[in-house]
Amino acid sequence: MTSIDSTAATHYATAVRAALADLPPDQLHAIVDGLDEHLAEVAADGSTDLVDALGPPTAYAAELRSSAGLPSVATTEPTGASPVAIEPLATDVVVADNRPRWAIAARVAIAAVLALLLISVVRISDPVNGLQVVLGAAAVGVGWWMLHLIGKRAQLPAAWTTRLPLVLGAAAIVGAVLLGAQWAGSNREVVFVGNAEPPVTALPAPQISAAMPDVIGRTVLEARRELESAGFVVFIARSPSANDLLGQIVASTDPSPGTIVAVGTRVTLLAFDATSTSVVPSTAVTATTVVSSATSTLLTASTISNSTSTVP
Amino acid sequence: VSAVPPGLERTQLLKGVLDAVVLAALADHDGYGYDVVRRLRLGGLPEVADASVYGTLRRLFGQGLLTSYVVASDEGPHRKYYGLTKVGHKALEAQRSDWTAFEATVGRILDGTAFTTTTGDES
Repeated sequence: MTSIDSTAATHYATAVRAALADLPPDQLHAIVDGLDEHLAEVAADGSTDLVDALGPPTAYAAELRSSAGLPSVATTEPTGASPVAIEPLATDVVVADNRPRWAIAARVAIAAVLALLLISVVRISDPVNGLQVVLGAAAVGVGWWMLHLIGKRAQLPAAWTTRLPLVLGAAAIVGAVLLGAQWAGSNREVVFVGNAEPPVTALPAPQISAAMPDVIGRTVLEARRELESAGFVVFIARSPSANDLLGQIVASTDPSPGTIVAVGTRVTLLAFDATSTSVVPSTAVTATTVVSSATSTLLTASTISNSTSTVP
Repeated sequence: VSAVPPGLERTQLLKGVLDAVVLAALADHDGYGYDVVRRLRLGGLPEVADASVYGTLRRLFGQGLLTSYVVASDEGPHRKYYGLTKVGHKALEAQRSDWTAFEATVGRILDGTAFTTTTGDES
């Protein structure tokens, strides 16, 4: 039953991948990674055939494209094959950029220069030298102007060059703010103003190694948040009984609490269902099986059973 | 019970609010892709397309509105769970208020009050 489901899912996923084959490899990977598993889930749930449930794979792929904000077939090459008229939703992130590759690279480089400039300003321990900022802005301006000249030859869109005043303006504002801060005597706090980097993935100051926090007995979701904010990559091995992670408690961790590990290490949480009445050792055994079957490369099962048996 | 031809194109309407409803479905409990599909269908949107949800999750993840982590499952393959980031929660808040305002406006237009109350007695 499940094997049939997963075969059907694999077939379907293969067809979807084929319909998306024109995408750049990284985009393709990002979108279809986990698709087999997802479709197996759909197949296991419904009584009907996958095609009946989801429509033909090409339609599924087209819908995937549009909802994920990926370019449709028609924009890459006029192959004439199934260019469904679906307009993408808000696509501010992954939308196709039809500017030449090198132009994009140049913009990235300029952004990097700006960022470096900002960072170097932050790093200065004595009062900020406003002159540095002005000189930096001038350097960026000259660089941009040269790019502009090259761009004209390469017949770039006009809009591309009109950004120059914007960039210079932003740099000037940063410079002015810093100069103002210098005069005010305090320069440390103001520095954030100029940089538009959203603090989404702000991690704590880089550390090379840290002690594994003790999260045993906490809920899985809590533990995950704490560990992730400490810079660890979290893998959760849960007991098979519960469908939801809610109410799952961390029974043990690998590495065990207090172990000195490199930040960024993948750490494994063994979860058990807090609502079940069974004692920890027996659930730990189940969980061990899960881990050893599912993530054999990750750790040895004996490590786990050792550490869990010490739990009172 | 209701509905004479032709009703509203629900799938078209859905496109505009898919981000918001997907975020809302994950706001309190993290979930994997098919989880989200089920929640939305049980929540009253039977027409929600699997591929749309799947693609939307990937896009929202790419935009930094969702985090993702893998959870081992005994009965099947590993599942990719999604949950809201801080930015995701903020986005949901913004989209909620956008929707409330939009819904109210369309409501006033559809029931006619938008045209009757705004005219006259100003100057």
